[in-house]
Amino acid sequence: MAEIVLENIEKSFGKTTVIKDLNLTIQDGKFTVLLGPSGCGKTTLLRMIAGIGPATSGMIYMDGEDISDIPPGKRNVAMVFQSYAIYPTMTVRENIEFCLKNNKIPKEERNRRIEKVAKTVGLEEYLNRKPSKLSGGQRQRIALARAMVKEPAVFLMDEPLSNLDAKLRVAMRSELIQMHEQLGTTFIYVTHDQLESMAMADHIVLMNQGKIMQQATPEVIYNDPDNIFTAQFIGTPATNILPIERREVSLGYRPEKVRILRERDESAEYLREGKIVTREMLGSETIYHVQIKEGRIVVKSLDFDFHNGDSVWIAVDRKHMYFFDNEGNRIRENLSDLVSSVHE
Amino acid sequence: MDRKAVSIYKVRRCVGKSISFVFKVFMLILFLFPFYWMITTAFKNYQESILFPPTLWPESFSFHAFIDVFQRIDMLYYFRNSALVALGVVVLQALINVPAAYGFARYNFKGKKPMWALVMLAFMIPTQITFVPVYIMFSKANLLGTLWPQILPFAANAYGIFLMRQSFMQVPDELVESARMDNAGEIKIMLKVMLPMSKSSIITAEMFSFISTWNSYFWPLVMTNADEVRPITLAMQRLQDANQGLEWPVLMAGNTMVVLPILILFIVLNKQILSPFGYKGIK
Repeated sequence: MAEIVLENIEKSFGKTTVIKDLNLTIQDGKFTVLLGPSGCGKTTLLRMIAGIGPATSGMIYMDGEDISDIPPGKRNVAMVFQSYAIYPTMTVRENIEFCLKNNKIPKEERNRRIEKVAKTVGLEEYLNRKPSKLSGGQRQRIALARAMVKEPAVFLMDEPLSNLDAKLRVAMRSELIQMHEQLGTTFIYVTHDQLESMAMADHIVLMNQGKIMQQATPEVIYNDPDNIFTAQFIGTPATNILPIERREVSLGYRPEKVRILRERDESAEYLREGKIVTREMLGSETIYHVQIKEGRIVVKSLDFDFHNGDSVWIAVDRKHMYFFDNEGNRIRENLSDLVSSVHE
Repeated sequence: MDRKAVSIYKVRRCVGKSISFVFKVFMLILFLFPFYWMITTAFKNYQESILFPPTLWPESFSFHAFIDVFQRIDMLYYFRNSALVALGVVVLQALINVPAAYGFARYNFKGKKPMWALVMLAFMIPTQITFVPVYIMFSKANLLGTLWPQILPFAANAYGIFLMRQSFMQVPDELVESARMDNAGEIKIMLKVMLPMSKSSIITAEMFSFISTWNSYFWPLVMTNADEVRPITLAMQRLQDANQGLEWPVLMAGNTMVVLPILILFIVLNKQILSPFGYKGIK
């Protein structure tokens, strides 16, 4: 159990500064996901907490204690690497045991803990095998077991599922959620996959270019984005962003919040006439690209009856409309005026 | 693809395979025949060995030549000299090359680049240039009557350092980081993670050193003044000096015994050598 506080963190590689003056509190016992496109600094942040890629300046506290100068092996954190970083010359058991041996834990205790984690992750039968003889999913489990056996206060995970095939990834996702519920420890999980983050996180920290764009629960980050970046990064297809004429403001709405209609709907606060350009039938839903007077928008609908070339009406309700200023930040006040300006 | 194209493809593949097979057999004969000739000659008697046209297989097997070798020179003594020198080199190289290669591969320190340039330079200088000053050095140190002049100059070896550095550099950083997070110190990381992963390269480098030391002729020839410190390769020469001209079976029997340890070594370590850069990472 641990709360982690990052204070005024800065990180440079040579002359390029990737993180500048970052402040972040990671809540005790929560599943926190650091999310963002590649190169946004999320892995850099994780490596700082792990102690294997120190910050250029700034402080890191764990439960109030400054850990900046504590070596990685003594921080009471465990990390699951993207490549798993399994020692290929050791057996599964030796892999799991390595850190316990280094920490001089007596043999009986070691065996007890290894048996326990091996059972949890389902590796009991493979303990004496070499990792090269196991499948990708099993190797992933070795990496997890190796982290769990330390019984750390914080679990760090760097895109641990990205090397698995789609089916296994979904299965491991729910296993990780379960694991977090059972252990109740702090999890910090790095991913670039917004779907993964939405599915797993208690708290999402969305980053871009070394800055935190928004941090909130998945519900808030989806329904109430602070800026254009958040609105477009979360959710597929991305939020439609359209400039509003004669004002330095833009309007955004999610493809799945758009109603696509054959007839005009006079009650809608936002109404446009359009023509369907492309249609992608995905099974439960259909994605249409629709040309309206401001540009081309994407609509996600359960209705698959529209076809290319159809003339349609597009309607969005007021609660689903987001307005952003010219710096991309959300406008939350005096909306009536803006809403009426985009009516039709 | 139509039938004709398929059959042309089949014929081509067949011809290609046959050519490659014939070539392989040819190369095999080219390399194995000297060994074959050496071993069979060792079992011939003197008359048969100078017979023309030569016989491909000894008419009567005789161990006479082998017994002769032991009677003429103290084989076991020279064997011991060669073994001491070769093992000395291997042990010292393990103690010096491995840490040096490890340092070059994993750490950044002041003067790393010029030091590496020095290693590469040593790699390129042939022994023929260095043997005179080295001889003078050992003479001044009063070590000429010992085995050291054959061991110490090879205690560190640029080729070995180079080969091992490459293999240490291939170990992914994440493994080292993971070991650090597992609370392993630098020495433990080296012994438990890096060395086992570079095992093949280390064995290959060490084996090359062993073989080249065991086979060396020029260096002991110029570095030794007395028979007591000469290795077995030089002792072979004494089999040639017999008054009644070259006795091929005796000479070949001696050589067969010299090559034997290396052949055995090669067979035992065969698997390790074939995969010197075996680590591909585990995902």
